[in-house]
Amino acid sequence: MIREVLSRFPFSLMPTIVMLVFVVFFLSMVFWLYRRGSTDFYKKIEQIPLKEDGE
Amino acid sequence: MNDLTQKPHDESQYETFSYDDNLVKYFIYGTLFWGLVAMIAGVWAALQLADWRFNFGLEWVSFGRLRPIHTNAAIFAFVGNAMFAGVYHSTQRLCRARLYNDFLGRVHFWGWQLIIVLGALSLGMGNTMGKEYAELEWPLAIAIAVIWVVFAVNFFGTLWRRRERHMYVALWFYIATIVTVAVLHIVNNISIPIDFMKSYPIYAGVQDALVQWWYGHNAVAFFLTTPFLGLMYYYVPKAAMRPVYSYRLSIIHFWSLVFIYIWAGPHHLLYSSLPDWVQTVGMVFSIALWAPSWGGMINGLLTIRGAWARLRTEPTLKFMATAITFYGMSTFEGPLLSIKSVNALAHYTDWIIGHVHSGTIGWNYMLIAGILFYMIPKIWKTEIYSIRLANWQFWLATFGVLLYIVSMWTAGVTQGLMWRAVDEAGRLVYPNFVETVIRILPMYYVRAVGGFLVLISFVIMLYNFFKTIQGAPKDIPVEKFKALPLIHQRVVHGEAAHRRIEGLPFIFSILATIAILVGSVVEIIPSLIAQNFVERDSRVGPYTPLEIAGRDIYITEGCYLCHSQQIRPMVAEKLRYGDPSTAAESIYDRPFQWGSRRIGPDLARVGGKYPDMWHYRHMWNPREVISQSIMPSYEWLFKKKVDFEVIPKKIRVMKALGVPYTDEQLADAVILAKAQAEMITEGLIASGVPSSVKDKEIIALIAYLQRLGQDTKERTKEEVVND
Ligand code: HEC
Repeated sequence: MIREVLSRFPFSLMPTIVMLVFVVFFLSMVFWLYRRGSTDFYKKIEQIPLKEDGE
Repeated sequence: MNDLTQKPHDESQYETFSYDDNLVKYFIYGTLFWGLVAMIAGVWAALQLADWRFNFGLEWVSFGRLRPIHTNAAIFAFVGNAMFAGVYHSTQRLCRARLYNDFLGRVHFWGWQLIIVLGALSLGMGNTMGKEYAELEWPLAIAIAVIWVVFAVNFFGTLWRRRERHMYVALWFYIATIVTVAVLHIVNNISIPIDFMKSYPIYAGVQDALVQWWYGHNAVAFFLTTPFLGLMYYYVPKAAMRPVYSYRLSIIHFWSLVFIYIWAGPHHLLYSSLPDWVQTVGMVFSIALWAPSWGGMINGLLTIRGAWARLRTEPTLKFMATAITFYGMSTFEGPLLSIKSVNALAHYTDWIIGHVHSGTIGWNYMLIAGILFYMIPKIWKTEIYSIRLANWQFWLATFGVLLYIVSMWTAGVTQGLMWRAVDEAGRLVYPNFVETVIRILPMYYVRAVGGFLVLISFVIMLYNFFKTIQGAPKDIPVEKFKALPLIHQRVVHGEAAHRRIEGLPFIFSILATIAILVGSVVEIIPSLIAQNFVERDSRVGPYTPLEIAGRDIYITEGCYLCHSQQIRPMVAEKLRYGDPSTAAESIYDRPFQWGSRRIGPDLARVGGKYPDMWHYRHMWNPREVISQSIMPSYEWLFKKKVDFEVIPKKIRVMKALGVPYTDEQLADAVILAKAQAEMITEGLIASGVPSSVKDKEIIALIAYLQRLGQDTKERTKEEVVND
């Protein structure tokens, strides 16, 4: 069955399909990153390594 | 004591803890020691190519065996130890928690060092899987998996116990590293043992090639790159004393990189007999990789920008800025090399060798140096012994790596152009392969000098650190910290949010795994099944028992590190080597031996090109037949006996893996092998060779070489009649 499907799959379209998947993934990520109120959140996180660790 | 939560709170809720920096110290020692070993092996291998006499006629260190020792030492011993030092040091601090388990940490350290030592010995002895950067045989591969799990348990245990609610981006990179390396290592190493130090992969030919380069490229991605990007996101802000330029960009960098990287492997197989669509996917995603990589580079450099003034005086920042610049350079060059038309020229040449060293020396070594210059004074509570020496080290390393890269560019482009040069009459301008070798020999000397300068820079660093540590105050009391456990921080925010946070590493790991599995599954699974519809070629049959033995000698000696067995569909290649290789031709090849570099000519169709006696003399001393050859001599093959008894075991495993040997062939494997050896020896005796060679390795190797490309060769009428 899987073999059947695979043998008919238009593999030449694969680069395009995967690229589209990535573009969707990328855009959702960017939208999510700029969600409301996130700036303060990231400001806080980026300080984590700089917190005094007694060194 | 230092309050790490910086929030007024009920005193009694605070926990006191210390960091396990002794383990970090161990891994630093490991880094320094193996870095030296790896670089010495590298310079030595470089000298062997400049002048074959540096092989010293020694079996254990002839080029085909020394090169894997060098690459494994550089990647897994030097960079590996540095990765563990950095990950353990930074993770404890980012989590505000001591490492999960001290004992597991020691098991990790000593286990890893033991694997390295045994690995180096076994490679010297010629035990190899024959796949680049995955050479170690199955017992060691299993040991690596076990130690990796120990590392994972210790790391995730620390995350579990963290007192910092949020997982800083560096930790994401570490998680992706741990998960992906485990997947890559296991999938690529699935093989069936023949005996204690020999096994055959379950994949064959084109499948094996795809799985191997999916692994190989992602070893670069997830062993040499992602952990070090994580380290960059921790140590660069520390050294620059300012937060990362854009945290959002670092998130984009992370997700895009892990998503895209996993697809890029097939760019190692462009123009091969791999299905076209896989090649195209590999190429497209390799080019796309340029964007996130440069996003990361820009983020790193802009973080340092605020501290530019200190760059001149602080070795840490200087090394880091240079490392990030080299990261940008290699991640520009990589996509460039993946463009098919560029790859057509560059593949199999030294350009690729230059590229990988701009990564490992320019990026990894420089960044490791930067991190060590930061970490060592902190951990040992002292100052760097000499800034002047650090500056010397910096300039020697920079100059050395540039010499290396530029000489390899020159050699690569020169050789690539010479291979393809065709005159007006349609003939090769340089039909003798060795002409194209001699032309680039001067560049091999320049490369050796470049590598030597890098080695010297490393020795200077060793001395500098030795003096630094020697001058450090003794018996410093272990420093204590205190912070609120997550449980108490929880009270502030409400239950639901908290469960989410606690589960964060888990959910995050799942997401990262999905991101890398999508690419892996889509790219590899069809090809595993596709093997059944790789057009078969009825002319191609399995190797004879003696040829199998010879093939394993070919693998043991690392011939694949200088010779390809994959003719690309290009005019010049057809003229030089014959028809392009097809997928069907390597259907019984376990492991595949397509190779990645042509220091010598392609051998896919060398069978029948020369008489047996030619090979006999050539293997004894290549200079006897090709006076300017740089190929090592293989005198030991004339003394060592073929292990006939193990051949049936090999045939049995092959048969179990689906190679169509008959039961008779299996039962008579030894007799068949000896008969074929006898036949080859008889022919040689006529040319004055002693009959005692008939059970020696050289005979099996000749049998194998003479078989290559024979099955699909167009035969003349007389040949058919004679058969
Ligand atoms: C250091 C790199 C190197 C290694 C390792 C190496 N070779 Fe070579 N080989 C060369 C070079 C360079 C040539 C071309 C000059 C010559 O013919 O000697 C060559 C040529 C050959 C040829 C002649 C091909 C032809 O078409 O003329 C054969 C056969 C060969 N090698 C077999 C082997 C085998 C088998 C091994 C492993 C036991 C091996 N080589 C290991 C570099 C290498």
